[in-house]
Amino acid sequence: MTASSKTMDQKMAAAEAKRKKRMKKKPTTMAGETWHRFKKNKLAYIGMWYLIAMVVIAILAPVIAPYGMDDQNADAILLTPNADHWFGTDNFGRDILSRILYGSRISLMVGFATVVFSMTIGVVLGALAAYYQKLDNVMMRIVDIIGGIPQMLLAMAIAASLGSGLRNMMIAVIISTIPQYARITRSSVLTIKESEYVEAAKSIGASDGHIIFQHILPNVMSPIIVQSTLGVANAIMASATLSFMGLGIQPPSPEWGAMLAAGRVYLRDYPHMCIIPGVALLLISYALNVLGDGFRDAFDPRLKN
Amino acid sequence: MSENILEVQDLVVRYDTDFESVHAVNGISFHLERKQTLGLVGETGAGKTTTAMALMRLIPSPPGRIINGQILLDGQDIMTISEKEMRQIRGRKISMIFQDPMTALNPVLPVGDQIMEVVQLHNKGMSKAEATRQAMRMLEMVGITAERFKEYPHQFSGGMKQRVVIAIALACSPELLIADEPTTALDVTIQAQVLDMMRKLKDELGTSMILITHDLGVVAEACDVVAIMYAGEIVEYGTLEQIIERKKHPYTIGLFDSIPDLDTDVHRLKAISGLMPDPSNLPEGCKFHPRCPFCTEACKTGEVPVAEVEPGHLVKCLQFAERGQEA
Repeated sequence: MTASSKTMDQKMAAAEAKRKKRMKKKPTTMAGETWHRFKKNKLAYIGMWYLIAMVVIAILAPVIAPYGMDDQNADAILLTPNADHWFGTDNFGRDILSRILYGSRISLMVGFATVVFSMTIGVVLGALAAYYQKLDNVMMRIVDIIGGIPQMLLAMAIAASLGSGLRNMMIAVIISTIPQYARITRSSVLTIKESEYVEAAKSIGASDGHIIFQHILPNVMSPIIVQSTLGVANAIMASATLSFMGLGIQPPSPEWGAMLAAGRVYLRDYPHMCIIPGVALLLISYALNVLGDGFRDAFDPRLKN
Repeated sequence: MSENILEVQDLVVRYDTDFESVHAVNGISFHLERKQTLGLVGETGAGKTTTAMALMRLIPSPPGRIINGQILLDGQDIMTISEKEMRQIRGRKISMIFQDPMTALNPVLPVGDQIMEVVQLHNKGMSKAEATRQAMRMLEMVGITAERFKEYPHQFSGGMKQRVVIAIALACSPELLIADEPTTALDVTIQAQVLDMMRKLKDELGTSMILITHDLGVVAEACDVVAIMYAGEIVEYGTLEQIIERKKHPYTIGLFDSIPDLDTDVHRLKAISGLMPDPSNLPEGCKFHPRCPFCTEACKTGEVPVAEVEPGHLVKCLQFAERGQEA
């Protein structure tokens, strides 16, 4: 009787130890918890790895591209995908795979750089407007005026007036996307600044700058991160659109939008010239969108699962 | 070093909106000796928190404005100094414990960082390691192991969070601590613990305290001097003994009568009839007259003078003003 119950106890203890071993260490930081929730969203997880892969490809483009980005080969014009040219060649006999790989550098750089700039400017404007009531009306009305113009139209107008080229295209995209960040930041800051811990921070003698940067902005980061992830996709599409219309990057630079524009003439007979850069744009934009959705769910602890 | 850590003279605070002006605090005066605890007692809306905010100069403006009054903190007039100098005082000389510990801590920062913050704000030259040590000492002091330094507020219970808030408030050994209903959001068993700890720390650090509460039990346990507030005025002011044993003002009597007695069996609790007047539309004369059982015609008009019924025991009621004149 006692012997059998003892073995029972031992069995249970062993099972418990096994279970404990399998259990992962509980994340203790907020980033750790968010990461844990994020990983459960498989689609977003795949999107993240796709994005990382694209960044690696962009960095390593000169190493892994089989041909130079504008090596023309008169003997291999308008080839459909084959063993030598996986993605085929274009009307100048340039290897489309190589051009796509090089093009990822431009698209990613434009996407991330414009978002960094427009997010920084937008967040600062939004935070100041929300924190200092006197600035609010003036600043947000200016933002409203910019935001009232359709984004693509504004970007086109700015790019057209500044002239084409990488830098001007980026300026156009930056200016046209500032309002979204300013609005999101302002509305979040307005809620957070009434919270008691901000009052508590005042009561220990913290200055306005300290309160904004140490207490308010970390609390409004999650909607901004989500918006900027989606914003990268948005900026890549906007720059591709500008290049497609000839307002952005000029040939022979291998920009995806410019490649689409070049292939348009051959769409009927050689559709691969348009399909391939189109799919590249679609995939990166889709990856960034699911990643943004994944972040949004991960940042919201109420959707715990 | 003056004898009184705090002297308040004729403090008037008003919230002006386009439609009405709310008379939140109407000419209160009091003083607090070093190392003593003043209990500020009154119903919701009596102006207790506004008074505390005025002492910190944190009245939200607009719409709030300190219309009149002088606040001497350790002999220094804090109404005339610049905002920058005031920031130096907040957290170092005078600090505050908020009512709800659930919301008074920043959810995205570890508690240790939040204690370090106040230490670093007021000791500019201090190294990070030294600030960390000081913050850990504070955590230990309020009865939380230093291992929990890196944990976030949501990992603490309500009582523990309040301990963290107290640690933040006391981290720079302030001379005056304002505790705004520090135990209201806690359950009764934790209340006693927290109060006990606050009293102990206060004695250790030699801090004076203003304890805002509507819980007369807390007052009896923790205060040396008591001020009863009603509609933005102090209606009775005296030592704990004077207030509990020889209360004079009808409102104070009403407050104490509304506490149930263990020995007598009653069906209904005795309440003061009526409601606190609307602070944007205060009655003429004595603010308490519409609810006062001893109200006379004279109470309904004119200002009510403050009478000193015994040394240090002030009552703002006509009954005693007349008697004071006769005597």
